[in-house]
Amino acid sequence: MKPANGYRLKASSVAEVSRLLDDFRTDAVRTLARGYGRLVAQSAVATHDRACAGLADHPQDPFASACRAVREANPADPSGLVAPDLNCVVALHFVRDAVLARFVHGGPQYLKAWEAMRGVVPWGWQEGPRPADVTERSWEMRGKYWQAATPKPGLGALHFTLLEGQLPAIGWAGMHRYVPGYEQRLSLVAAAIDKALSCGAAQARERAAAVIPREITKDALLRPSRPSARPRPAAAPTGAQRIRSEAEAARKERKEKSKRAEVRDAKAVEIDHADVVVSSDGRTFVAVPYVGLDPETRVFLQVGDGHLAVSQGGVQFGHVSDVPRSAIDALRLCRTVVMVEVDGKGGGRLLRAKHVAIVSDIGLAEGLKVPLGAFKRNKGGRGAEEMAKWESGQ
Amino acid sequence: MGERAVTEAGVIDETFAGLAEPAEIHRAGRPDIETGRPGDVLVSEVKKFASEGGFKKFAEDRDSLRKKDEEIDASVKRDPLPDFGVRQQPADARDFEATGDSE
Repeated sequence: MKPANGYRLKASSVAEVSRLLDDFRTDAVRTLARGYGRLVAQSAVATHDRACAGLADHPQDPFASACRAVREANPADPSGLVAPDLNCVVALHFVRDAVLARFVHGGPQYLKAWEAMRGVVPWGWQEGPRPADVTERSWEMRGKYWQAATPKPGLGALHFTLLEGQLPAIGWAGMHRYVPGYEQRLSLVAAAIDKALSCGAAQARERAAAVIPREITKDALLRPSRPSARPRPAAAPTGAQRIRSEAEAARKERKEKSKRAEVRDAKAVEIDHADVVVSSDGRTFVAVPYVGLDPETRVFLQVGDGHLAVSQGGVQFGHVSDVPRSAIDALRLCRTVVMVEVDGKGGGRLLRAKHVAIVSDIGLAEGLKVPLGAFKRNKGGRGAEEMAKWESGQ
Repeated sequence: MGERAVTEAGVIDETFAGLAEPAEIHRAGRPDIETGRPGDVLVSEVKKFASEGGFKKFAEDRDSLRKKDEEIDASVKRDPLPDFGVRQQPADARDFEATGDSE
């Protein structure tokens, strides 16, 4: 292999090489601890939160089980490299008086740490044109060294592997800095509850917020407040059943409440359809679903080529596509239209509000066609003869 | 700019009168919605309002208001405008002055 991303170590003695590798190991171990600690923290907290929601059991030793879970999630790759996502490998070649290195494997943080080392100089080489910032002579030398270092691919390199054997077991001290935030935990648990009970995202979120603690402490992980850690009597409802029955009752109540609210105030999510009505005295009205436009702020109706958009105060309230040409033409004739918000579902007031909307033409195609139309003349049209005479006289 | 309905036919005013017999209705967007289109609801509500005599009542109210105004106007005694002594030149003389510098 002729590495384009090779390096040369600025070292002339074994002591310097070993010092350099020591420094890199210190940096890399720090990066490893960060990445691994984050994974373990996520796993431990997720298990704890799921257990709080009654979807899992509290493990006896949360830290050990989280470490085990992370270990299982990061198995060794076919070449035997432990936890490839967290590991890092650098190959070293000793050629005459030079120590060459290749960054073989590792995440971008490791590469950054490696390249930031004072004794590591980018010294890559490959067959092909040399980069502009390397002199001809130096490029030739690099070629010679690398060819001597790697006569055959995969042969004769010394490997520095950050992690050999198992990922270590860590406790609260190693992970407490990386405990995920409340929002992240909430959405995770809500997704789990939603999956288990299929009760809708909003409700699952509410449930999750009710059961998980806001702060995660060591004690909370070791001694969860919920009783699900100790064995329950068989007759008692399981966590999932309990949540389901409570959720059922809550849902019923909410449905009734929302039904009452719906009658009072049934707003559409957006204006996705509209009817253009021209009255017998020539006024143009646009009837749209009730979205609760503000009566104090100007409404704009933008007419494009085949679509309408309603906006107010810079907020777009909807976009209507598939608008027939006739409607577009009727709207283009107006400077303002009366927009009526119509409530199709709620009883009582069907016409909810009236606005004067300013019509603006945002169509592109029409605007381009109009000036071009002015140059088109019929052959035998009015004044054609005079025009021809005048042009021939020029 | 806008008006929010507080009563059932709160937003309907005289300008809506022509909607009882609309000239054109164009349906835009969501062809899957066939019943309860906002345009149909608008027209049927205005028709209902018209059949209940809503627009007639508007006209009557306006007439009675105008009558009242006219009565008030008629009751005010008109004094002749005071004469401040400002005399305007006749129109032909003004025109003469305006074009005088073009001689």
